[in-house]
Amino acid sequence: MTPAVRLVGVTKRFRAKRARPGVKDVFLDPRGWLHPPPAPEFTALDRVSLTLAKGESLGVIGRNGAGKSTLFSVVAGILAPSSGTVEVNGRVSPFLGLGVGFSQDLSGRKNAILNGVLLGMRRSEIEAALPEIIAFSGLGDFIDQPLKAYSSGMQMRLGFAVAIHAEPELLLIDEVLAVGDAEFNARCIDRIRGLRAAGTTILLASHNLLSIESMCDRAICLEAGRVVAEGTPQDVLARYRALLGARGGAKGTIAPAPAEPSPRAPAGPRRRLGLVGCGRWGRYILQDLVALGCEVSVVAPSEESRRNAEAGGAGRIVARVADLPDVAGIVVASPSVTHAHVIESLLGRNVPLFVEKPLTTDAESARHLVARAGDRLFVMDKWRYHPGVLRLAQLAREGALGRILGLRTIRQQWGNPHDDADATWVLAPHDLAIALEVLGQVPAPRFAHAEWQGEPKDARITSLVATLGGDPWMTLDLSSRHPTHRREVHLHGSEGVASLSDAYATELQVRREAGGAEPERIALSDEMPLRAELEAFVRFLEGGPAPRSRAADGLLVVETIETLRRLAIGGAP
Amino acid sequence: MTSHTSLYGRLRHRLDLVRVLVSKELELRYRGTSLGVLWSLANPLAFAIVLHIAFREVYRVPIERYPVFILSALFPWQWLSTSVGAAPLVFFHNAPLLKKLRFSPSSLCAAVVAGDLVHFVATLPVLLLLVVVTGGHGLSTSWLGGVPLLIVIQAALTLGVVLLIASANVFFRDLDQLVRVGMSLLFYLTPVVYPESLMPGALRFTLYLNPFAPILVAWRTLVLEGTLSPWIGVAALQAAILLGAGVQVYRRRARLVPELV
Repeated sequence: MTPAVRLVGVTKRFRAKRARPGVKDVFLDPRGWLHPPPAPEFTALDRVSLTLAKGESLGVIGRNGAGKSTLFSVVAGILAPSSGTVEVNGRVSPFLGLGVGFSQDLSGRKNAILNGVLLGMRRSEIEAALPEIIAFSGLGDFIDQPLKAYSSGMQMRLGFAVAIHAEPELLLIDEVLAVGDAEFNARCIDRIRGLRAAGTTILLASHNLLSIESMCDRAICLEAGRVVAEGTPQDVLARYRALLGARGGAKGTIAPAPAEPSPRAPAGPRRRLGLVGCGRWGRYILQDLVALGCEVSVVAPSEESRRNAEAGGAGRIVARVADLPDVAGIVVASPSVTHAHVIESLLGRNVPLFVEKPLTTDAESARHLVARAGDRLFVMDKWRYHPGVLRLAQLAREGALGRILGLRTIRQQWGNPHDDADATWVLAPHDLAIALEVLGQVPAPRFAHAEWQGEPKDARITSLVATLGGDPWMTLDLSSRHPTHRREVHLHGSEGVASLSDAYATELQVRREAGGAEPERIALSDEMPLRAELEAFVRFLEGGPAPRSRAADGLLVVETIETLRRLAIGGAP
Repeated sequence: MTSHTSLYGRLRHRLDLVRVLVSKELELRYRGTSLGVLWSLANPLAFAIVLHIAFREVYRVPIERYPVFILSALFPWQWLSTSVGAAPLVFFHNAPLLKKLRFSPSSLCAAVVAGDLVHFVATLPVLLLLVVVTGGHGLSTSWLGGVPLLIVIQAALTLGVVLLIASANVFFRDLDQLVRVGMSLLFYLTPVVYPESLMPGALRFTLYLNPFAPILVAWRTLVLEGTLSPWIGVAALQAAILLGAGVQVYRRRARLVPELV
């Protein structure tokens, strides 16, 4: 069968921008003009080969500048490769930008026709499709208004509606899915899924890693113009995270916590660490530690975790905690309910422990552990290393939003990947750690309402809303029964609200007054928090400052969650 | 969806593309004005009045029906010069489109020429009226075939020059300035404000080299005398050569246009 796309050894070089010869140069330096020195070249794509079967969807992941856009332009036929061959069968709808060529002074209808023809449709076809385009974009009578009367969301909707109606056989989607409101977004994704089901071949580049996981059969990861990973979306995403981590470490932009006297483990010629647990999350920890240059001994009790450990480059794999060799520090990433027991069995080793949140799933054992080993026990609160949260904390500190009034966090998803603990233990530690970082405290719980199953004493909570504190206040909205994934953090100040709209958001938005004014945007680095917190732990083992969440912080989070559960399910707070 | 793989399908799409690009340009330019495209008459008419005063009243050039004489060449010159003047930057002004969409960049050149053609066509009734008002001399059935013929030749000629300049300017950016200087020189080297018979003998050969002279002489002969001048043949030959050269240069450069603009 003819493939939809076949690239063989495609290389694309760009000449570095430099002044082109003008008349002056011809007169002043005729020889130089006739024989110009070779311009420095930049290789955007380096011997890329890939084949897409008809109907297949391929995700393309990579950092900014990794070559994604060049790849798409080459496949779209906009750029010619410097060498190699490009074969594309079928009509292409390049989605490289929405509404390219829109004129603000023309009506939506005229812009739709212009854009459609530019996308390769016949004028008659797009005129026939106009009623459907208007319906899909939800513009109604606005279609005959000039574009400048539209909000930017409406323009995006029109652009998307036109592009999707070009009935392509090959759809190229370059980072445009984050347009419009959530509802329109869902419709776009629906429509793309529909095209996929109907056999459209799709090439998707996105920073929104979730959409790649849910919409692609296969993925590749580009780095410096080369395909560095290829395989299932899950595997390639893991590789990408490791790559981001390696970069984040090199930059080292994480503000260190104040140094305090801490027990210090001897740092060997190599960083020797232990890792307890190598499940769906632990394998990312392993990859990041290996990328940091650590020699990692892994406790892998199950067959699956053993496979993860092997694939992730573990130095040594043992079945039981007791079999761990001597190491400088240990990362605990076993299921939450086992934390208390695992930590207990490791305390005798007298090395720093870095425990995944939550510290434990009951306050009593947490108190006990803090009392025994509070100085060498730290909690992995990756949100305290998230660029967006750090930036919110900075805004609060600097008074950029006036007086800080409160914090609103939303965390919703469908299902709970961990069967040992319910939504409060899986989700709430994130939000409370964000409060710790941004507000400098976890406000006291005041009210909580929950949806739960089972007996009150071991209730499994699936949704929880809660208010905490007063000055500042905090509201919490958690659910493992929400159809889409949501992670939002809003910091309310007397002079404005700063919002983080997603874990992978590339910017913070600050809004200061009511009305339609454009929000201020604060760009965020693409540093990966997991990588940053592990690096902080490794640095600590070598004598650096302590990780941000100490055992006492972990205990505060556990106590707060217990109180919230009690408020929601019943019994005296 | 129509197949774009067939030559016919591609051609039809190309025509649609030029059509929507032209209508966008026209609508944007005359949006909100009450006279619309008639404004394209303002510039040559004002210029013609100035020339009329200067040459007819001050220098007393012995040319009959001077306004018709001037405008019969000035209107087609206006078409030529606006298209050629827009040529150097046509790709740069549309860089976002070229970088994000796949369509033939030459459509943009064709749209420039076609847009200015629309303006030119709007001037034809004015010429006709002027001829009638000044006695009707030169009105003949030759107009019926001559006007479309000359339009086709001039369109091909202009498109050729626009393609050449637009493609070359992507690599040699000084062309924009050169074209401005060149066009104002060429205006006086071309028999627009004087009859070609006034051209000194030593310079007459330039009439054949100047790609704009034969077509303008042909227009003037048609409007003033009502006859098809032998210059039409020269103009057609020039158009064929220039269009051929333009297409050749463009073809060799087209694939690099999106990354260089």
